[in-house]
Amino acid sequence: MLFALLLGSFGLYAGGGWPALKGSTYLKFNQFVIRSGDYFDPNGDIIGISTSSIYLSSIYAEHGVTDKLTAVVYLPFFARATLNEQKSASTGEILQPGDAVNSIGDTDVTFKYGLITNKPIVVSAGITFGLPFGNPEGGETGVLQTGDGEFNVMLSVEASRSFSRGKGYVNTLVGFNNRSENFSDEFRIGAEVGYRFTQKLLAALKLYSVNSLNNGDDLQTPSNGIFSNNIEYLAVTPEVNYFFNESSGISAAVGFAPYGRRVLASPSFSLGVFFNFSGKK
Amino acid sequence: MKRFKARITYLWLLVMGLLVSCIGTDIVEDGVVTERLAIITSVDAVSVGEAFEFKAIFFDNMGQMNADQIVWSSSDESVLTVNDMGLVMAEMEGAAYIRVMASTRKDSVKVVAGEMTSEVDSERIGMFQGRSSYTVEGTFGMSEVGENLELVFGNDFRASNGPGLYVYLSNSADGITGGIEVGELKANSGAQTYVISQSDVALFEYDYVHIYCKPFGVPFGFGRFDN
Repeated sequence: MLFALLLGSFGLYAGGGWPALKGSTYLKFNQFVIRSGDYFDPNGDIIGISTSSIYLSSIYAEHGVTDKLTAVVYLPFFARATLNEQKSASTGEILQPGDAVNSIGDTDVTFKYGLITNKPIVVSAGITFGLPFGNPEGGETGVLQTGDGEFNVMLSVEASRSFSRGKGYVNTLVGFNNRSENFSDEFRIGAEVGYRFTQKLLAALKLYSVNSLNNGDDLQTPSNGIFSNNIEYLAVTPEVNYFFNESSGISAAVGFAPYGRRVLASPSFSLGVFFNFSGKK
Repeated sequence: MKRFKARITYLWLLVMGLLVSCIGTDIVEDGVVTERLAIITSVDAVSVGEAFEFKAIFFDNMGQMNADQIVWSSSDESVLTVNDMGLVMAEMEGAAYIRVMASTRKDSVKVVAGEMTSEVDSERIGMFQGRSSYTVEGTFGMSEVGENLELVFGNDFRASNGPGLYVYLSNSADGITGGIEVGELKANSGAQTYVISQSDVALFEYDYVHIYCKPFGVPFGFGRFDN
């Protein structure tokens, strides 16, 4: 699903392998947009399609339940998918009217547990429940999606370490996403490097790869297969965070996909504001 | 601090508002296709002394049907004559070619002037192939059944899953420009039948069958009639 590009950028939030301290909360309001008339087909070749867009307004929250257990919620409370109308260049005739759907999007709930927390390299394990709150067959055409219509469970392990006396960090992630409804399972890996250049500026580079195990069946899934099953991509996402103070700031990111299958082939853009309520990593 | 947070919240809402999209317009370059001219009457013999109206279709390079440009002729007017409307008259026993011309295109059909008027086999068949790395495979056929045409996909038909898949007839392997929409694909696999009124389409009017993702404008596959 298109959301995957967004989840990729959140999946490696700076928390990484470090669990949140008990009682602390990280909160981020984010706006994500991708709009493209190009598409990575099942072979990974880019072909032209009707311009499609997806817009997500979301809340991402991490809360330290204990010093080792962190609860994470990603809730796209407003998701909008659009499809441009198609107009003939020769006759001016509308060949296909445009379409749009608005709804809540698919939501993730994660529990992350710190396995190694007092070593230079910290490790945590997580379980994520993907809740199909979105609409897999929206709009007048019935083809627009704000969700993929399947419940999934992802197991992941994250390892992190800091460097330069805490100014920089490296996060890595390995995950297995078990998808229901005859969707193919996925193997995911990611890496992130971040560095706080000044007290107010933190820059990060995130890599996130989703790889299908191709063990599902397109014809048996509840939604159409063009954006939902057997998707693959490598997302490269530079991100800049500007801190107003230690407890709040804004972030901006641009996601590129140099490789993909069954995903839109254009950059995605994210803007968000974040708050950190007590507790430090 | 409250004032500061309010500013941030305002910024976020502003950005959100700016980014929420309206539906745009894509201009589809659908202008030029290959011209096509064909005699579509499935009669190969006309009884001497009788007349039979032949029909031909011509699609110009905009994919539009343009019957006004069609010019009829006979290779031997002592055997068969034809008027501007395609009405063929069998004058004496023998054989001749009925020809049509339009723009740069030509077509002809051999017709026997004999004891009786007879129709040729009126079934067309073909085989699908995928495009854009999607799977579309299997056989299809189209034939006249009463007042209608029936486009039939065989048991071996199979297509990738996709949103808004439709069946089209056209005269281009590249796309559906100038073609007609038959209907939404009924199933991604197995035999299925589409009924088309002959008042809309003649049996030999189109040469290609397409499986096309209509909302996103993506061709999934196509097949050409072998005859």
